[in-house]
Amino acid sequence: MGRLPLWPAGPAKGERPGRPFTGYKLAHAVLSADGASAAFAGLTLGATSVYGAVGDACCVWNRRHSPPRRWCGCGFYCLHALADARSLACATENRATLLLEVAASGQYIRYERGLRYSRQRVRAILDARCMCGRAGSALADAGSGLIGWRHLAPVCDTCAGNRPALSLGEFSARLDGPVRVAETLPSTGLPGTPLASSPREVPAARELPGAGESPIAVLSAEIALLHARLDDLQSRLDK
Amino acid sequence: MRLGKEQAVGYVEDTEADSLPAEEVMAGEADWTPLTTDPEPSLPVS
Repeated sequence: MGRLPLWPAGPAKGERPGRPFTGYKLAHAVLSADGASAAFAGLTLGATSVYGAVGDACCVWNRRHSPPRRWCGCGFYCLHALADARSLACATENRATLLLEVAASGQYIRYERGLRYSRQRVRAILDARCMCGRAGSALADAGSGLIGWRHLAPVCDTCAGNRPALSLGEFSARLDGPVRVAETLPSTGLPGTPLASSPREVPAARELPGAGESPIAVLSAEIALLHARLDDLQSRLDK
Repeated sequence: MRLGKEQAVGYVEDTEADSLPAEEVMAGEADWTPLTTDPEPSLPVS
């Protein structure tokens, strides 16, 4: 008779991987009051904690223990799968966030879908989505913030208009470490949603169905009407 | 954020931190520049 396996098995302890984990997470972009520094802020538990390109987690409830503590919710969080992070970004409260790729290191607890960990380095900004559905190319004042920091929200060139905004590159340059900005931000999958974000590549005629009329579309219609009237006038003169 | 069932605990060094290329840091331009004044919006690539 064979020996019965130990049950429950419980989590494995003492893992020592050779490389940091790659993870994906959402964060709010923030800009310091003087505009000189940029950083990130968390979504829920860490909503009032600002962190830079490289950071060490600290527990907001109990400074006497080091994150991540098993029976506490402290520490940085990330997801293993990019698709899971993009799903999270669909939620209403997460629409104005940036999707980040991070290197997770230090002490960690590994879960099915992600990690809770003590040290983080932000590698890249992968997604920045304007509320209109286009890829965001810049960050504008979101109208909210923390003491000393303004929340920024991604905007596309069309929606930015004349609002003051910081390009993603300018935002990245104000961080306290190198953070890459993704070259091509993905579309939402909606019909007519442009992939790119520069004005040259975002023709106004490709508005989302049901969206308000763009100024160029209105001008084009008026020019067509003017041409029709001129043709009509010309034909009358000919007669 | 729901991460599911705990699977393991451990420790890992950030071995990549020392080998980051310095040129990825980009120089900033004018603060809070209106986008419409820039014919070539700087969507940075690195």
